[in-house]
Amino acid sequence: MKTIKIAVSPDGNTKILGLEGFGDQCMNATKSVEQALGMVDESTRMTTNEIYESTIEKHLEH
Amino acid sequence: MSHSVAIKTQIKDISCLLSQFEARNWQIKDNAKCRTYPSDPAREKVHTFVAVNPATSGPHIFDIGLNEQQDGTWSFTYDPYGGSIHNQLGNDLSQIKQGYAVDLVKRQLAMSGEYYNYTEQVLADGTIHLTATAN
Repeated sequence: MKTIKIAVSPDGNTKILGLEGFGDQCMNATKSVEQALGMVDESTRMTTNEIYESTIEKHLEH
Repeated sequence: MSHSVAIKTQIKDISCLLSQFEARNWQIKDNAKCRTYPSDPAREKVHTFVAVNPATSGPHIFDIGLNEQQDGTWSFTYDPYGGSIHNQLGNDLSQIKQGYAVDLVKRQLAMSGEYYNYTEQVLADGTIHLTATAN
């Protein structure tokens, strides 16, 4: 099963929250969605390991 | 493998935008003028599209003009006075902008060749969490 999770704020701005089941094709899976929506903020792009490490850091801060 | 990324939504797909108004019973006119405040000189401007306010009562029933910008995005022109627009479509047209983004994601994923099912969860701050699932 493949899953894509996306947050859409009331001002219409979006954030891709994560994907499951796409393997190494995950970047390609959302490419057309990203391009259609508008301006991608590449400085916010995080891959699985970075997301995991960020979560660990937040846990350690608390 | 997974990833996350933020995207500033730009309204570029006019078909998707117009469908947001029509879904809320706002009719679309081509090359038309907007109803706005009587002394507003913008009343005379002809817009590429006008979303016609379906409200039938109240002193300030105004419409929304839609025009394409040089960068290919579409802008909104309207008079918020009296609240006849924001009362129906949310502050700063939030229902239109949010609906546009959700619908555009679904349209793009539909072109991927996969058949997706969707669930939507609305958070306390109004954010929609959209989950697309394909087998």
